[in-house]
Amino acid sequence: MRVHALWLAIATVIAANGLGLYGVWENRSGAPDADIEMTSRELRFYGSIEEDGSAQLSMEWNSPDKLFDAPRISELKLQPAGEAKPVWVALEYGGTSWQKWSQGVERLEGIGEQSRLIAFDAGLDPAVLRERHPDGRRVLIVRGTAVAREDGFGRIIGIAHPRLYVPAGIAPNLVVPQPGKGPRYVVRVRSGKKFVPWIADVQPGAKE
Amino acid sequence: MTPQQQADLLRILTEELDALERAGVVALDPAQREAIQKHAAARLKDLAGQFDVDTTQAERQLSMGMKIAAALGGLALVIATVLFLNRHLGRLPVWMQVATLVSAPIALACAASWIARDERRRYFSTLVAVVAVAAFVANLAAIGGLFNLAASPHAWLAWGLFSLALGHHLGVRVLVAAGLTGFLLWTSVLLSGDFGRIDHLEIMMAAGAVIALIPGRWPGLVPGTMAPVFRVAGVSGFLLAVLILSQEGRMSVLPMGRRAAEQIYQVVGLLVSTAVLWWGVKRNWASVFVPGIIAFVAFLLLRMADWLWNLVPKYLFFLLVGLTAAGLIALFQRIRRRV
Repeated sequence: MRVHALWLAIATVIAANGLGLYGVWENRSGAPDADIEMTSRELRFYGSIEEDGSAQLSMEWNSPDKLFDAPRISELKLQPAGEAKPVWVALEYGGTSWQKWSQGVERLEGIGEQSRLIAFDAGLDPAVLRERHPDGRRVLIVRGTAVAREDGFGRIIGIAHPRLYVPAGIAPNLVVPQPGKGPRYVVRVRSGKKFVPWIADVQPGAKE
Repeated sequence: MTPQQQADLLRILTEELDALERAGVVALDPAQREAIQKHAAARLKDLAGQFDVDTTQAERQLSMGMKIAAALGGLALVIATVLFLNRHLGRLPVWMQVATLVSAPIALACAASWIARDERRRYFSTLVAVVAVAAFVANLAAIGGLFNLAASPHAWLAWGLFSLALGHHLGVRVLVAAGLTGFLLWTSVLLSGDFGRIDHLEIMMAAGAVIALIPGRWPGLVPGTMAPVFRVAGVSGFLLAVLILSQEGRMSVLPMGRRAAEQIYQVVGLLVSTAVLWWGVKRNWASVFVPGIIAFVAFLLLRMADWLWNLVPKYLFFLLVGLTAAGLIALFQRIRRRV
């Protein structure tokens, strides 16, 4: 019995890692679901390289306050003034959702530094969401959470991957963005079959 | 009976026999006294040779020091492991990072098992086993970070199972307790689907009750030395869930409003903690009595705070708390005399 317990402990390590790594392999094998070039405005580097040379980028995104009306709230199975619920979120880089959002907040200072990644739609099935927004060069689909407020409107309040890992090999290309100086690096973000994003490359330089 | 308990009994037996002789209660002839002393000395030597047991009071005190050293050493080794991985892991190719992270807890678990083959090295095996559990926690957290995986609530189950299995294998209570805690945390976040969001605490209540009842209902599943650990973890998990529900009714599955659920669990909490207290006293189980009394006092203080905090001056509130504590002490003294 006691020897079996040691095998159970070892099997637990192998099974937990096996399941996680199988999910990673499944996500990254084949053609990516999305492949988008973003900048330091969307993936912000706060200037801290880890001791092992790797780094983390914080995914910055914006979203309209009144994204969902009553029919969409009901479609997402959210309860007005209820708890936040997990949903799949569509994030568009630039494009019409950015134009709409930036027009609404134009009076704010520092709009030129704001992230152009806009959470503009959500659904309960990522495949259906992808069918609705098929442009994998512009729309990234990730897990997130949405909530419906008392005023009858709903919004996205979080995404499941707020920070993305940058391997030590490409982390030196990161430069801390300076206010008013524009983007300082370009990041290629991919996501796969399981809609988990990862950083494929970082290059220094500006891209608008 | 554990080897340490056998050694303690032998020591107490010889000391009591001396005391009884001095008091004139018994009169052993020299041959009988020598035979008993020889038997006790031989048995203690035998136990000390086979197991890491304390045969004298001085050794007991030294053991306490070793336990403290083991705890501090374990903590230091855990920090060293995490800092070492932080410093060097990212410089390796991805496959080597994964191989290192996966093999570290397995290698450490095997090392702890190998060290524990000599019973006298149990402090070292416990130390290595604690580091193995920390390495497994770091393993899953680092794999998640490396591949941007969303934190999964099932990580609690994996960590709990590993700690429970390793603790059971080595007979280390603290690891069994950590394993059961991991399992209870898993049940509390299971339905929310979120790593850190505790919800639907009735599942944790049910899991706590099952864990507490396992040693009595299915004694073959748990060795006798681990029974108190199961009872203390199960009862604590159950009562903690009731305590949280009595303050945060939104975490309940009951089909009613938040406030109504809180009121139900406030009453349930007082009744259940009293029942648990009685169960512990009746069976003479400190593992049930202690969490029962802590929960009972917590429920009582929370109710007093809810009812009286805004109603009476603060000095009077604390005076009432003090008087309640004195009343409880008097009550438990009466119960103790009856038992």
